[in-house]
Parts: sequence; structure tokens; C-alpha cells
Amino acid sequence: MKKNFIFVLFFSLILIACSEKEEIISPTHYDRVPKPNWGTINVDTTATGKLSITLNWSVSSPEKVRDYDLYRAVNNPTSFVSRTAATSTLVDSLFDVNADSIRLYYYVAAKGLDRFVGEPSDIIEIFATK
Amino acid sequence: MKQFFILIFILILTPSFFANDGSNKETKSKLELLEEFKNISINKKSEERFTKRQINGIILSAIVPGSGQSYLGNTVKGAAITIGFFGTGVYAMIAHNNMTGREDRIKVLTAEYNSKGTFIEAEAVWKKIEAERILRDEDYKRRQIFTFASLGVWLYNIIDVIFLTSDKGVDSFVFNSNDVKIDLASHGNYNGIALKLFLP
Repeated sequence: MKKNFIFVLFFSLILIACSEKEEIISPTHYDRVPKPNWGTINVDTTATGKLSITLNWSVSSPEKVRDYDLYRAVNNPTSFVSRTAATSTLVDSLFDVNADSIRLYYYVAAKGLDRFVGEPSDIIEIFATK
Repeated sequence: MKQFFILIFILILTPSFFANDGSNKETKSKLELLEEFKNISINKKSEERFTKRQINGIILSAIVPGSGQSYLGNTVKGAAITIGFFGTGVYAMIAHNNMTGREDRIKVLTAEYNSKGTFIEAEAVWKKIEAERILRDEDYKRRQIFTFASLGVWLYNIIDVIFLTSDKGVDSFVFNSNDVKIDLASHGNYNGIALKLFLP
């Protein structure tokens, strides 16, 4: 009886120590909002001398997207400013070109229905001259 | 792994249950044969296999591995088994503690992950979760290995104390002599605790 008690105690301790590890959650951020892919890009000049850049992109499942955040940097691809676009096309002509040439960097990120900002697209570089 | 330990547990308990069952004729006949064998056996050592000291040693070893061997006079072996058992046991407990700590950290990171509003932030937290998961899994493996090792040392200790450890007799240096007595005493105006030794 005494021996059995010792065995019960010993194996109870081992069973407690052998608790299974808890499973971690599955990642949801990869397919929550689709990543935009760049489409056609046209560079043009308006009648007033401004640069007009038409950007197109696409996503695999547009029904998951509320709108898009487009980010632009001028000459330096570290300081981006953003603007919102409701569709997957945007014409950017909001700045004057003082220099003879300019380098523009763009990337776009889709915003989900719950306002979760999805994976950003690749950064594209546009070299424009007057 | 739980099933494995439950199986071992049942295997160890089963023989003692069968031994208590008096209605089992086969077991009884085997016991009778054993008794006959004992009676005709010339070797007296087999009868003296389990002396009271050895039974005490087995019980001690079951509670604290190695203590039975030390009690029977095999102090070096006893110490090695005790160190082996507690060493592996403590390491298993440390690994278990690390594992539970990492699981708590994963829970905190999971809550943080669910609250993030952008892919970039969520990805950064997810990488931390993945790193913690890898470390947690390593701790889990360590805990398994050292729990098994600890169990192995315990089982070896039981086998050793039953079959492989001989009784070397009572150690001459034991504190059961009447020649030396220790007592608490007061002496005159002295206020405090005094130790009085009655030396031979």
C-alpha cells in the first residue's frame, strides 16, 4: 500500500510535468488584405508644365479592399508622403518640376474593410525629365 | 507521452494487484513451488535476500533515489545516483519553467499581434512569436529528454537497490551511542542557550 502510494505520487508528478505545449495561432495578416501589384505607369506633362504620372495597380481580391494608400518620395526613397485613392488608378500631378530631372519613388498599400493596412507593394522608381 | 507514462504506471502496479489476489490458483501454485524451492535450497543467501535493512533501503531509494544505496553502505554509488536524479530532475524543471515562461510570452505577443493595425507591425510581432515558439519547442524537447533521463535514473536506482546493491552492514560512525549526549542546559546566572555535551 505504502509502495503503491509512492508510485502514484511519483507518476502523478511526472504526468503534471508532461503537459503538452500549446499551439500558436495561425497568422492572419498574410491573406487579410491583398498585396497590390504594379500595372501600367505613364509619365506625361500637362499643358501647364506639370508632370502627370498615371499609376495603375491591381489586387488579387478587390472585395477585401476598402481603399488604397499611395506613398510618394521625391529624390530620396526614405521620406514618403501618402495620399488615399479609392480605386486602383491614380493620376499624380501635384507638383512642379524645378530641376531638369527628377526621381520619384512610389509604393501602394491596400486598406481592408476593417481599416487594416495590408502588405505594401514593391517600391518603383520613376526617372522623369523636362 | 502521457500514455507512455500511464502504461509504465499500470505495468508497475499490475503485479502487486495480482499478488494480492489469493483466488488465482496459478499464482498460488507458483508461490508454493517457490516455497518448496526455498526449502530445498542449499544456498542460504537467497533466504536472506531481503533483510529489514534492505527493505528500508528500497523504501528510502523509492523516496529519495540513491539514499537506499547510501543507507546500505554504498555511499559513492548512492551519491552518484542522487546527484544524477536531482541533476536531471532540476534541469527538467528549469526547462519546464522556461517553457511555461515562453508560453506566457507567446500569449502576450498573440494579444499584441491581434491588436496591430498594419501588415508591417503585425509581421514584426509575428516574427517575435515565431522566435519564441522555436525557443519554446527547444525547451519542450529538453524537458522531455531530462524527464525521461530522470525517470531512467529512478528506475535504475530501484533495480540497483533491489538486485545489485549488497548490504555492507551498519556504519560504525552512527549517532546511536549512549556515550555522547547532547542536551540544552542553564548554568548559574547565564541567560541564554547553552549546549551541554556528556563526553565519554
